[in-house]
Order: sequence, then C-alpha cells, then structure tokens
Amino acid sequence: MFKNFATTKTALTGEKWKSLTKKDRIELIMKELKNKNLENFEVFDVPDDGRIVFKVLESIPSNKRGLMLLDIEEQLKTNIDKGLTVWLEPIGDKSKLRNLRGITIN
Amino acid sequence: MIMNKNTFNTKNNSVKTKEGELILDSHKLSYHYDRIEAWENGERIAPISVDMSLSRACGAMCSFCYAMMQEPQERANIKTKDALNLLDDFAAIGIKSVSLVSDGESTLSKAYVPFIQHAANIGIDVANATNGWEFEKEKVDQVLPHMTWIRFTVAAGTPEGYSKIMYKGPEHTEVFDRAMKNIRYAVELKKKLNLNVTLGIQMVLMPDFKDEILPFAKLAVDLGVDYGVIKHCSDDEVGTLGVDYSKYEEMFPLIEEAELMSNDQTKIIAKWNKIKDKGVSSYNRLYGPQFLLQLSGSGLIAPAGQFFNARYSKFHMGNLTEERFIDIFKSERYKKIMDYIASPNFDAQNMMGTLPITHYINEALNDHITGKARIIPNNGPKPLHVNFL
Repeated sequence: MFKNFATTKTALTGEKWKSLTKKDRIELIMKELKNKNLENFEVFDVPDDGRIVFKVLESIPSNKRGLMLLDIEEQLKTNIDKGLTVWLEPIGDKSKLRNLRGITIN
Repeated sequence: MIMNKNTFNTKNNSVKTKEGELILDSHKLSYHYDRIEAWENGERIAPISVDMSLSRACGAMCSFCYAMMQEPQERANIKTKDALNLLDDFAAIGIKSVSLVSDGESTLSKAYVPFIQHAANIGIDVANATNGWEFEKEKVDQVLPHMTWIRFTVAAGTPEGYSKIMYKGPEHTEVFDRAMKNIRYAVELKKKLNLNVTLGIQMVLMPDFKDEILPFAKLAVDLGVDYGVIKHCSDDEVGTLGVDYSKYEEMFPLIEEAELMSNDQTKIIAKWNKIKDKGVSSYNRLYGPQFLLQLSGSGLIAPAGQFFNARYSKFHMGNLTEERFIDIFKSERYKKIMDYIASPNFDAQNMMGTLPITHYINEALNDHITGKARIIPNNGPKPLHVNFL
C-alpha cells in the first residue's frame, strides 16, 4: 500500500548538531564513514541546516551513485542526526556560450 | 474578437480554441485515473508522459535558461539507436507521450527526425519545445505531420529584445528573423495540410522583460499561431538566476491586457496559477515524477530536471546510453529514489528549485491524498494533448 507522508514533518537537525563546530562535524562524518572505502570523498561544506556537501574526486558511475549516496545518508541519519542530508558539490554549466551570461553555480 | 471570461473554464483553467479545449495552466490527471489508483495501491506505475531532450547542446544563450543549473557529471551523446530503443521501452511499459523539451535543443540532434517519426509509428504522442532556429523547411516537412504540439521559445516580441534575451545582444536580430521565418513556414504548412498539430509560442517572463509582454502578444497574433503563453521563470533553491517573485504582481495588468489581444485564431494565455504562486510550493513531498518523468539530453535519468546537476547525485538513476531504460525503470534504484522523494527525508520547499515542470501534478496529487481536493475520474470529452500531463 501507498505510504502517505504528505503531512509528516520533514526531519530537521537537532541542537546537538547545530552546536558543533565545522571541524567537529567533519570529524564525526569521516569517522562514521571510515569503513566505507570512500577515499575519493572530501567534506566540502556542513552548514547548520543539516546538508553535508561532499566533493568527489573521481566520478561515480551513474547507475551506482544514487543508491550509494542514499545509503551513506541513511547511515549518517541513523548514527549522527536524523536531519542530515547528503549532496555533492555542484557543477557549473559547460556551455561556453551560456557562460557569457556570468551565472555561477554555488 | 476579444476573448471574454466565458472562454475560460475556471475548473481546469482551460481555454476554448478552434481545435478543442486547451489546458496549459493546470493538469490532465483526471483523464488517467487508472494510474492514480495503481499509484495509491502502492504499485510501480509507468509514467504517463516523459519530458526529455536528445542533446544538452543549444545555440542560444537565454538569460532565463534553467539548463545553466542542470550540468551533470558527464555528457553522453544520445545516438539514434539509443533514442529509438528508448521509445520502444516507453511503449513496452505504457508511456503515452514524450515531449522534447528539457535541458537541450533537440533539433540539433541527428536523432531528432527519426525519433519523432518512430514515436508516431508506435503510437506515442510526441511534441517539442524549440527556439526554432534549426527548424527549417526540410525538417518541418518531415516531422510536423507526426506531432501533437510544438512550442517555440520566443522570449520577446521585438527583434532587439528577443536577441538580447536569447542571444549575444540586441544587434543580433538575425536570430529573430530566422526563428520567425521558420515559425511562419510551420504555420503555413499546418494550414496547407490541415494538420492536427498545435503551434504556440512561449515567453518565459522575468520582471526585467515586462516591456516585452504586449509586443509578445501582438507577435503571436501576427504569426497566426494557436496560442502565445506567458509563464513564470523557475529558479533553483539558492536563487542562482535571481528571479524576484515579488515583482510579478505589478505586471498583472500588462498580462491581462495581453490576454485581451486574443482572437479566434490565437489565444494569449498566462499561466496564472504558477505566476501567482510566487515560487512557493504548497507541498513537501514529490509525487509528480512517478507520472511525469524527466530525462536529460546527457542521457541521465533522474526523477526531475531540477535534479540533473551533480549536486543531486543521490537522485541519479542511470544513463540511457549505458543501459536500457526499461531496466532502469524496473530497478531497485528507481523505486528507492522515487520512494525517497515521497518520504519525510525530502522537502520540495527547500531541496529543489521553484515551480518545476511537475508543479501542477505535484500539487494535485498532494491535494488528492491529503483529501484537500480529490481528483475525480473524467470520462467526458478529452481536451487537446490529453496524454501530456
């Protein structure tokens, strides 16, 4: 049957996570992921809202990256804070023509 | 003839045209109720429609273009064989329509003509949004008889405004002239062959373009297309394009004036629902992609175009140039990702851009399952383009 979460509140980070310094957050994440063989992963940003933005040094195949990142997120939610979400560093537009517009992706 | 209020059906915001009821500012889910029932029963449903591109390439540089924010890790080249296999997979699982819109200019692809012809041959409705620059006579002759609709991106009504918004500057009006020549030919061919295709032009309205609203409406009427539509501009969740939604309201009188320029042949239509939403969605969970899936011109498959960028890699399901779509559709990753965006781990209000292509159906499905407004099966006369949600 369909699981209806339409009105369920979105998971948010707790006070404990918010009170940690950026350095402490990164250490906690890397410690949690040390057994996952993620040598190519670096933590790029860890803002208060629970986003964990990774920089990945080597591209992950398109048929693997979705499940892999969702698994990492699930582990971090379970073991650190249920409000954590996983993202990768964004990539800017590769169109030379459109880049003349001067739009940058942050 | 001036279009009066009776021309609009307030229930679904449809517009009566010479060829039938046209719904641009709402959705058509009620005509596909069997799939809603299957979805509510927890089944893995085939999308009704797919929105995609055959290429990431584009010769334009529109200042409102969302493709600037959609760069994935890799840009594969979708070959004609991949594109035709894709259509066969669509037919096998029950996808009813495909629109070539998404994150690239499909007319630039070698697969463009065979893709459209094959879609029509196997019973899949096919449509295209294009700048029209490469939509020349030879191409039009080969595809127009097979298409349900074509929507030309026409950012402004004046040649200078058009060239400034869509290309390098106001002095480059050659791109406007080229587009108008090709659109006029398509309009002529439609009339000559009495084709069952809807031709429209679209303005993506940003507050800076307000002086182009009335020239745009006049141009639509002058071209003799079936409609000219004015829509909002989407932005990502961090406001990369800098769209100021608070400034839309002051343009309402101009938009209303533009609508009054409608005549028997050409309807000027504003997507009021989206414009008035000011970039804020009423829903948190995302159900629309199960009914309307988006594929990138890079071959990437993700639930929504707003997830194509590498930032959203956890929503990346695979690439159609590396494996068959039908296998991706049947995979665990497809289900897990669709389940995730419908779960409390995802929030459409701050984890994706504004007003996605699935906005109307996201809203309708959310209202349906929360009981706010149930979708009712509609067995009456079908509107135009019923298989495009």
